[in-house]
Amino acid sequence: MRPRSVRAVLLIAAAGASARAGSFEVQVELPQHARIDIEKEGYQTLTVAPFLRDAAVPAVKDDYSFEREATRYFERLFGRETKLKVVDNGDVPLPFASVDAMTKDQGFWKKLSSDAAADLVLTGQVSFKTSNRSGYVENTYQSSITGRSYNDRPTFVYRSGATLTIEVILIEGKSGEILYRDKFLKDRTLEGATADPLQNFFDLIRSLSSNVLALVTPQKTIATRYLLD
Amino acid sequence: MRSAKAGLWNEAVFRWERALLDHPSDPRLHNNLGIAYEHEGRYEEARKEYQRALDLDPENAYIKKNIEAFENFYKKNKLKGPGQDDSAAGEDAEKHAS
Repeated sequence: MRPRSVRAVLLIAAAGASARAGSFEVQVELPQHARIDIEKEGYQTLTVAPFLRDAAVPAVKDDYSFEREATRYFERLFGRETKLKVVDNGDVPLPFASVDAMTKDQGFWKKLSSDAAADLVLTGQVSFKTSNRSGYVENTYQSSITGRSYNDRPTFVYRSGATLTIEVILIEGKSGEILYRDKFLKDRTLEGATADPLQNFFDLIRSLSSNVLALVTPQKTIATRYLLD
Repeated sequence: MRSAKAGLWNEAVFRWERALLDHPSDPRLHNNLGIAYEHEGRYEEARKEYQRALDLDPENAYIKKNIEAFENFYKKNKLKGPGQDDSAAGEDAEKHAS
């Protein structure tokens, strides 16, 4: 006889399928236009200024600086995936405590971009948090004789969660004005109690890459739709 | 349905358009054709099909999900299909993406 745990998994899967009877999830690839037409505007260089850490979110680990990792990641990403030349700004420290303060100081951005000889400045704020999502999960199994569903004893499942929110701000160097500002969020839950925060961070930031790149270059994105049978 | 699942969206468009000639009031066909049009970049036609599907079956959760997701993406990206100008696209930008 097949162990109950295996049967439970199979029947839960079957229940999920029947709940969606008549519909099929499909992925469609859709074009994502660039928010800023860099060729039309004549922008050729970009510098990535430091990102702020969201002060409202406690540090995941003292020795990790996710905002610095985000800055480096976007430098590499924009250098590799766009027509812009990424120029160094000498790691100028940001004299701001909040995103709102960042957006009001046009003089700072004009000077930074002038010193770095950059047409555009990319900056923003990083908020990364992890959480323990362990808990009891209901198990349902179906009798092969009666066809009825039964609730089995709940089992404890170790899970950990991670949420990355990145607010990106694209600034025009010569005017110090904000060209585009948007916030992107990605969340995931993993089995196991001890997921590596750094790996989680990079997995999540990679999955947000196309959204951020779409600021200056056309992208493709995958969307979910439901076919009906 | 098999054509779409296999990624043969051109063929799926052809089949669903033909099927609609015989069953013009079938919301499933309008919904599926909307998805196929969307995939092919025929956004105005996709919107009409989704809307027709919703008119025929206003309580269908999947049709609602499809049309909401379509409108959000369409507005945010101001998509243009072949021969369409900017005025055909939406005006508001979605604040958050995931």
